[in-house]
Amino acid sequence: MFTLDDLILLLTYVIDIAAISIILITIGQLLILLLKRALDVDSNKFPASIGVFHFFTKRLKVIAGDDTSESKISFISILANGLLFALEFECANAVLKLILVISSLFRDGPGPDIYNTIIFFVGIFGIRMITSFTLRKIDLK
Amino acid sequence: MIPFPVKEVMLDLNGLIPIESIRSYYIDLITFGIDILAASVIMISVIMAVISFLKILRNPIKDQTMEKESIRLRLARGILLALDFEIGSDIIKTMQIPGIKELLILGVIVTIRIVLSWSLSKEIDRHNKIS
Repeated sequence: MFTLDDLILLLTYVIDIAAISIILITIGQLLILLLKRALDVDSNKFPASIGVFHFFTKRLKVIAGDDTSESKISFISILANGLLFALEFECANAVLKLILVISSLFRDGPGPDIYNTIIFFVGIFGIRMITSFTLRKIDLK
Repeated sequence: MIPFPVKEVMLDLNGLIPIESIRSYYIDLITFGIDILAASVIMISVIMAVISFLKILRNPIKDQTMEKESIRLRLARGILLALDFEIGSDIIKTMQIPGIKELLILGVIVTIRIVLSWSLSKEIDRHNKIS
């Protein structure tokens, strides 16, 4: 029998996986873009290097679109955007976990760990706000 | 002078109708429903955000950056709605607070939620102004 606690724990695992996937995809996109730029630079010096990474360049044509707009993209902007997106998922996760804390507070009374839990949530949301503010400053869009 | 038997009358009423337990039962039921609703709102927002994110992956990266921002803010709106539900649930829960310690803890948690909600709405406002 599923209780509210089990359901919310399951949801938090799913959201965690989604957030990690988003970070990995963002880092992957950045690496591919960096590789493509490195290949562009290399191809001017060593035309043979294009052949080595032919598969990647073919693939990148689909993802990156036209070269003129791509050159204007800032790497930091892409990374900041991806991290902010993942951070939003973690925020949703923390809100779900707060539901668990409140329900246990009313069911079992305040345990010895309640102050640590509150400090944990204050820390999480504080870090979220600071990171969001900082990344927004970095975001050059 | 005959003293009015207040205590006895209250005890009798309590014995006849267990008002306290009925109230507690309904408060638990309502807050449980609101919690489930808030969790569902968050889950639906997350699923929609993940689906939209997977859809935009085929677009050029420059477009992705812009679309990711709007998806993120849609998710933030979902979290904001869930937070509002949760604050409502907390307000209802104050009816059955057993002691001052619990009340203080609940107050701190509600404050955390209100600050988070304020921060999210500021972000959404900023985005609306930019766009």
